[in-house]
Amino acid sequence: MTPSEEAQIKNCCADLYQSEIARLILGETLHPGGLRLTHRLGRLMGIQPGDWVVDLASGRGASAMALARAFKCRVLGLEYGAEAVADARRGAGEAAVPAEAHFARADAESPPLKDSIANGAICECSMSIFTDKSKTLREVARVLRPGGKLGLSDVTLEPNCLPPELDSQVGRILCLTDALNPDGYTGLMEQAGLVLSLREDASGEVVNLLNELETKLEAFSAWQGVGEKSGADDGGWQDQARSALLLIREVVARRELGYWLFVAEKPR
Amino acid sequence: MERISRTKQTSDFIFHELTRSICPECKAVIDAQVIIRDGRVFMRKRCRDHGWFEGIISSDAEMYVNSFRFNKPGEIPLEFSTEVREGCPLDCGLCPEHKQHVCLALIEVNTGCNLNCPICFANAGPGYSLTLEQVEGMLDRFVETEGDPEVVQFSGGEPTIHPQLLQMVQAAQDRGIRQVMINTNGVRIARDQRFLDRLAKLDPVIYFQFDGLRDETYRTIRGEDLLDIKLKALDRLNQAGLTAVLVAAVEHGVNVDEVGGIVEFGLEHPAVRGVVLQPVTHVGRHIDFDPMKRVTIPDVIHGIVNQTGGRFVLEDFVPVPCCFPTCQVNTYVFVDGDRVTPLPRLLNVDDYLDYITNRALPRLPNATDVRRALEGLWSSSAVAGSEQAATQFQCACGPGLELPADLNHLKDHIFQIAVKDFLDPYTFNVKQVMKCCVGVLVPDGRTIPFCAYNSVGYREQIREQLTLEQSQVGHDPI
Repeated sequence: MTPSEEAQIKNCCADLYQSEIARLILGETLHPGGLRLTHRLGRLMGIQPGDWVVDLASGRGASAMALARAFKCRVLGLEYGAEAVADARRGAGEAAVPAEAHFARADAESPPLKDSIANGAICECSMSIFTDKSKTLREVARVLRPGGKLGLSDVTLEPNCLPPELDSQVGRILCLTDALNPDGYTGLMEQAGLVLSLREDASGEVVNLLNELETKLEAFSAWQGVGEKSGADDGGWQDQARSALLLIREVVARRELGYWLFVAEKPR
Repeated sequence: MERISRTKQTSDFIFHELTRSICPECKAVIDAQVIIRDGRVFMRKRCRDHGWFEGIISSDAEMYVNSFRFNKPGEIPLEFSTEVREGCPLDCGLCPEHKQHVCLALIEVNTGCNLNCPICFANAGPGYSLTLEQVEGMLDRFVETEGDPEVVQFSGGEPTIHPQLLQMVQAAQDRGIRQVMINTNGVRIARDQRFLDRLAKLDPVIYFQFDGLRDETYRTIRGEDLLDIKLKALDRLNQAGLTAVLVAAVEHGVNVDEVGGIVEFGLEHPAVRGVVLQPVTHVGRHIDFDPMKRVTIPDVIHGIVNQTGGRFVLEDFVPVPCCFPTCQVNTYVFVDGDRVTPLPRLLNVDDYLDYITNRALPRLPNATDVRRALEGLWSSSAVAGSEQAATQFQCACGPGLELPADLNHLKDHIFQIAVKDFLDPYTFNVKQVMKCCVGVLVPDGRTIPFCAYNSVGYREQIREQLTLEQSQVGHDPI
């Protein structure tokens, strides 16, 4: 892949996550389990008051703010999308309860940070869409202090298990096509010099998310059904989305698609 | 010589079941009979030391018995906090014998209040005020036991007078708890614009005590004329973009004739997304009462039906299957101007929520989605005015309704009516408490089912302990 193609993909992903439709359907935190799993990850990492934590691909900053308040730590969010960074800063300024969260526009795959400065790093549902995972993890290892923890949550996918209908645009939207299986993530972490402390299967959250999406889709279709006379477009994409959800459900039931949490440590 | 009649007499009641309850005097756990007499349902029990007690539990036996079909298998929490030792309801909780997880958790942040109502199940007054750290710990424990906790309601005392309430609401949201509610009398909302502005940023749902539309009602239940304050607070909530659920304590001879009016007021007020009608609970502080004459769920439903000019029928109200089905009924309506359409008119809710007689779902392609949506709505974790409730409503009713052009505004058109009957020492039924899904979180990590908390003595023990702890560390109780 050429650097310009790479940049295009990054921009495309950043755009998607900034889009209103994605926000409408997926909610403010764009990953399964929402802030619930963010909090779980923070607990498993053992974040302490005053710690510096880097949030790789921090989006609109909801996770960074929540972590900073719940663990009384300081969070630096790095995000490629300029609008998302602006939104995150605005959100932090207007929050009813302030938090020590700061946001910068940067490529999370090569964070512009000095060596050994962070006590922790979190990476939620974004490692799977990073184009160079090994490099990103090496960078995480570089930025972490000895004893510092990486908390990673992401979509997991067994190799070659996606039906062809999913292995395209839909796959990319749902962070699927470049996702690894649990051992794949663990292997890359270890290659980058991090030592796995624990991993947890949170695939139930994918089922919750699928249920929720299906309800929203049915609701939307019902609404369109009565709105037809007012010139709403045909339900073609809804049928596609419905069958995509069904296919995903089957892959999840076979335990080939899931969502896992990982905590790894930089050796002292 | 006098003749003794040898004709057997028929008893004047039907023996429905034997269950367990408590003695209203000494709280000892005792056997209790549930009997049906003259079409009404009563609990009858005997304490060895305090004799016989009888109280009404439903004024409509048919409705009571029919509700048993709406009983859903429970979901087991991830962790329990106590062991089984003495048996229900003395091991709360939750103990491993509990039959349901917690749909709705309550945190009573203080005991102090800015009113002094003649009735108050919490018997508000001097006592304790939790710290932010205590509340954070309770929320962490709740997340631990539930995994994906749905709703937390901050209550009291009066939670809005706690100086750290906003931080507590934020702490719940930061842990990914989907819905946060504040149970309030509205006094501070009516008077403190700065507080309201900050509250609006967090966008909690306001569980707003609203007992009726007459000054007299407030004088009897709350001890002062509060109607003007209530109306002002609701208008301010509307201006601030917050939504409210009206919560009325319903009592015979006070406001049972106002339930229809409360529903209609709610349907019309732009800030209100639902109404919860709760027969007055005779625990804590309450007006003298006759246990044979308490308000029960059918009284409230009949009241709504008779006082709203034909807008509702009895069949619009369906029992909630996540808790024990005699505890609560719900209905949802789609409101469009003057047109009010109850959801049960658009599809047969029984087909989906009757877990006993109908094992097979209707043969529709989206039947599973519809059942899931209805289970979400007929649950203690359903929050009126939430986007989730609106989507579930729309998913369940299908294209049977002319909906507003802007789907984002759908949630402003969905209105919830719930009737909730909490237990008191006369009606306390262990069977209901065992499947209770409303839990009070306690700083020591326990979760006590709400009606056990109020009736068995947990509230008093915990209040005493927290007040003592606080006096030792020198906090000023608020």
